Parts: sequence; structure tokens; C-alpha cells
Amino acid sequence: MKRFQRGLSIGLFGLGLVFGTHLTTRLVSADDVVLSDEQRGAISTNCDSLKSTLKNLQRVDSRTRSFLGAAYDKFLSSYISPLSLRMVANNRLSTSLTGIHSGILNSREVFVAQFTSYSQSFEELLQVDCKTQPEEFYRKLVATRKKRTMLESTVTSLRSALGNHYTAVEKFRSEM
Amino acid sequence: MNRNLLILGVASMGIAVATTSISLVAYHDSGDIYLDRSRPGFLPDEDEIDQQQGQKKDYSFDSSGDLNPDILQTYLNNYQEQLDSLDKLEKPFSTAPLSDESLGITLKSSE
Repeated sequence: MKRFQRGLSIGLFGLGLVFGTHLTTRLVSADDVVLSDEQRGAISTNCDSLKSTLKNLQRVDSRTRSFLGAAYDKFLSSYISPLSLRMVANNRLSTSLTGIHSGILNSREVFVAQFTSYSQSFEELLQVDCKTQPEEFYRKLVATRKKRTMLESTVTSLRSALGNHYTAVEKFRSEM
Repeated sequence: MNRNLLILGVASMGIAVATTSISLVAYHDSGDIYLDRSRPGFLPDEDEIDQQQGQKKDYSFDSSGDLNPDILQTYLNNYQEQLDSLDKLEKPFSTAPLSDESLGITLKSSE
């Protein structure tokens, strides 16, 4: 019986913890955005122009994603993967190159997932009527911005990893 | 006979509507819709197609063969060209275009 009561208390505590965290997160995110009257007015007044700017940015982003996606695929399929296979075939293994290769593969997947999530957020932002719901629009804008920052960071780290691959191959070549 | 044909027609349409709806929901929820550039408004521009055609596409490192410094130097030269092509894109996904300033919703100082 005592065991049952202890189990029940732990279960209730866990449930409370999960619910509490969820509620706190919601409250914090809801309080994140505080607009001044001036900002609220600027959003409502320039709503049409804002939407037009955002739609253009959405098109540019889609184009950028397509360019980067094709470039990453080219790096992997025409350079990095064939080089790895050739190194294995020649019994010349390099742990640093293998590590960089798997890092690029992982980051490529993260890039696609983050772009999808960012685009979903962007679509939700465009669906909000900024004339009548400036606060909600701004809240979505802040959320979209955060996702864009994450995406930018992944793109930067992918560029850095591609540069690291060059340096590692150069080093490997000099040690031959 | 006519009644059976009518039921068959209605059932076929019902199945078609249901399967199409399921496909569209899956297309949207999987996120593929955001990667699809054949959507209206997202089709590649003409200059973009020219840009893609102008890219270095012919080089591909062979996965078989010897591995020596000369081969690796050729690899590195081509790899660097590809990196240069990637660097032509200035600050991809920079946060600037979504900033308050860029969107014109900055709080103007009242002082």
C-alpha cells in the first residue's frame, strides 16, 4: 500500500512538473512581446507593405535554399563522398576527414529540417492579419526570427565545415 | 442497373476525394511543400536558371583509382572553385531582413 502511495506521489509530482513547465513556458512566451502604441500603430498602418516585403523575402529565401541545397549536394556527391570511398579503397584512412564528412552530412539534414520549420513559421506569420492583430503578428515575427537565426547559424557552420574539409585534405596531401 | 452505376460513380469520387485529401495533408505536414519550388510564385526565375546552368557541373571526383598528391591537388583546385561559387551568396539567411528596422516597425524615440 505504501509502495503504491509512493508511486502515486512520484507520478503526480512528475505530472505537476511537466504541466508546470509547460504553463511557465507558455506564460513566458506570451509575455515576451510587449509592443508600444507606436509600434502597434506602425504594424497596423503598414500592414500591406509589410506583407508584400515578407512575401518577397519568402521568395528570396526559397531561392537561397534551393541554391544552397544544390551546392551542398554537389559537395557531397561529387567531392567528399567519392574521396572517402577512394581513401578506403587505397587503405588510407583519415579520422579527421571522416569526422568532418559525418558532420557535414548531419548538418545538411539539420539545414533541411530547420528550413522546413522556419518556412512553416513564416507561413503562419503571413496568415496573421496584422491590421487587426498586431500583437499576434509581432509574436509570430519574433518566433520566425529565432528560427531564421538558427538557420543562419547552421549555414555558417556548414560553410565552416566545408572549409575544414579543404584544410584537412591539404594537410593529408602534404603528409603523403 | 442505373442505381448501381450511380453508387459506383459516387463511391469512386468519394475515394478520389479522400485519397487526394490524405495526400495533400501528408504533403503539407511532412514539410515537402516548403521545399517544392514548382508551387505558383516559387518557380525559378530565368536568371536563376542561367546561373545554375553556368555553374561548374562537369567535375566529379572518381571514387576509384590511385591517390597521390597530384590527384589531390586537382581535387583541391576544383573544390576551391566550388567554395568560391558558394561564397558568392552574401550572408545567406541573415537576420537583418526580418529586423524591426528593415520592416519599418522600430520604436521611434520621442525625445
